[in-house]
Amino acid sequence: MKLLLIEDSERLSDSIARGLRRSGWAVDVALDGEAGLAQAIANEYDVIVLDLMLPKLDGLTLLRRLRERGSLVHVLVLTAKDAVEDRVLGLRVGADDYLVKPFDFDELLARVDALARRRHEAKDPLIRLGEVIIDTAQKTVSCAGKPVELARREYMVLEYLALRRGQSVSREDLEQHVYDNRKEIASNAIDSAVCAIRRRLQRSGQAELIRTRRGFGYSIRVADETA
Amino acid sequence: MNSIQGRLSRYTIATLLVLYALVAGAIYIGIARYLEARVDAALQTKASVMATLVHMDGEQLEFEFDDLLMPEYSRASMPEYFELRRADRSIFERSLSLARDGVTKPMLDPGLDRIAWDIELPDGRHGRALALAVFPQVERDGELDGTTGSEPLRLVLAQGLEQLDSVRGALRAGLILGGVALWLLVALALRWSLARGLEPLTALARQVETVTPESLDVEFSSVEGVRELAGIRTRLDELVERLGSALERERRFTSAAAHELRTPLAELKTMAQVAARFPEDHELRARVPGEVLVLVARMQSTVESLLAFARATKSGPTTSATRSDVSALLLRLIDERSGRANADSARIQAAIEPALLVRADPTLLESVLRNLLDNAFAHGPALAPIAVRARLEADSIVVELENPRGDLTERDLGHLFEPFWRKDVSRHGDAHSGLGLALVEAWVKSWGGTIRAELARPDLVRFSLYLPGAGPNQ
Repeated sequence: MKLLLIEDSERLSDSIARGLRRSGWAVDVALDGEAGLAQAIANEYDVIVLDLMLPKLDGLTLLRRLRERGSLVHVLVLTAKDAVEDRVLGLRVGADDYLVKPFDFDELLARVDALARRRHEAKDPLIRLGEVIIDTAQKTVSCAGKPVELARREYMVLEYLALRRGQSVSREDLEQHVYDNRKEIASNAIDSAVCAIRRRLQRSGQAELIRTRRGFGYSIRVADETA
Repeated sequence: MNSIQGRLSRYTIATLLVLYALVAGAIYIGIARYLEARVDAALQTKASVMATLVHMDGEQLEFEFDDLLMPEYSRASMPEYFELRRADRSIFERSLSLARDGVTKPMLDPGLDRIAWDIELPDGRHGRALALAVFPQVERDGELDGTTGSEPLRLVLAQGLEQLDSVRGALRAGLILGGVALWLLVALALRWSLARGLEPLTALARQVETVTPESLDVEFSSVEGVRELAGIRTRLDELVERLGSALERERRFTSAAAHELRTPLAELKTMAQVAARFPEDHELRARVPGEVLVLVARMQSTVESLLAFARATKSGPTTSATRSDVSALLLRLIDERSGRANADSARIQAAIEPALLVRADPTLLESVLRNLLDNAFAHGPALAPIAVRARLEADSIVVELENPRGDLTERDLGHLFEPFWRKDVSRHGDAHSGLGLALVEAWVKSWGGTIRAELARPDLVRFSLYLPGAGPNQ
């Protein structure tokens, strides 16, 4: 899952980004409103965390412009303004959630996770794919009750495919949602991650969970959910 | 608690009752006197008639009184009385009512000097007596010859005043009842009329009672058109508006101060939580102590600035006992900059008159001048010249700093001295608390001075500081 953090405090954005990345999120960071808007338009994010008082372009204007362009991305507003009218204004302009500084990192994480689930219309943090269960809150995977050890990136690939189950997900789409913009992505990075997932699931007899659809990418079938 | 309506009612009723008592007393006395005069006149008439009954037949004094014609002097119940005395005060004749049952005393007329007076009648009743000197007419050959005897007799008549007392009693009762009725009527009328008359005042009081810090958008329209309350309404409207502005300023200030502290707090908290949650992030853990110190220093600076601002704005203008030399301070501050790597002093064009003295705390004055100078360097374009001038003008020391205005607009100049105002709404960075110019203004005001920012030219912003002071020869 990929998140855009638009926050002008370098210190705060660095801490949040570190925490989110280590919690299974791919995080892009923008330090001002103009850069944030440009990134939000150029990339597809599952969630945007947006500070309101930003240099160059304030958060509310950014959000308004984003919505005017038809963006449906879920936005969590993060600000030091706690007056009711500020919160109401933020929500009216198009924010999906609101968090006042200083906040608990766990709460921020829980809220962005919830927003991501809403994006994929999943209310339960547990995704059940037959014997395979993905806990999106704990970022863990189990098969037939036994834990399956996945690397962070592998987990992100599996979670994204699981949230989009029943659909073919292209490699580009996976790259978009699993990797942030900090590093160059190897051309076979997604294929390698899928191979690694299959290998780990093979031990539990679930190697066929992720199917390859030539020319389309990867998919997890809906039927697998109840199998 | 006293009410205006209650006080007005009490005073009005008391005044009316006093006036009524005076008028009623005068009426009572007047009527009583009139009735007494009528009684006296009746006694006088009766006495005059009885006087004609006294005559001298030769040497014989006669009184031709007939009880049948005047039965009131002989009846047993509520009789009237008379007695006729000779000049030597011996009794010549008295009414049967006096002589009955051998009653001879008291005499009706104990003295000789009174004409009419109140007495207690022999039967104990309250009565009125009247005395008349009677000169008996002389009768010769059965006819009155028109002369009178030489020695007068004294005729005293007395009668009960039951009727008069009854009338006076009724009059008193009537006046007292009238007073009570008047009190009741006036009380009711006053209650109604005062309630109506004071309605605008009551409505104003009710409206004022509803004013709270949360509902200051009130207009006292209830007293519109009431001349006596027009001034009060205007003042109240002004007061509420000023109160609203002050509260709004306070809210903005508190909110801005909270915001100023929240940002570093959020940075501190998030960093600590992420570092604790992911101990394997060694890079972050290594950075935390240094970052904590920076953030604590920033928050400490903000808190100290807030306290300084509170102190500066709490007290009114103060006169420092110390005289500070503005010229020397400015020159020292400019000199300090010459040691810096980028040679800031080269940018300064100074024109400073010597020994300009002001009554101000030297430490705070240095803070003011340093702040203005730092601002000129921090916010003006790099390497742009900065003009610093100081001179004596009348009784004021004027310090001016001019630098290119950069991205400041004319509208921004009105906000420069507001606490926590920043050209850029975002609040990152650890260098400034956002209270610098607000503190400068507060300190300058506390010394009885003023400070303003204006565009000296379209491309030049000028800070002008006016402080009461003196030149070197004063």
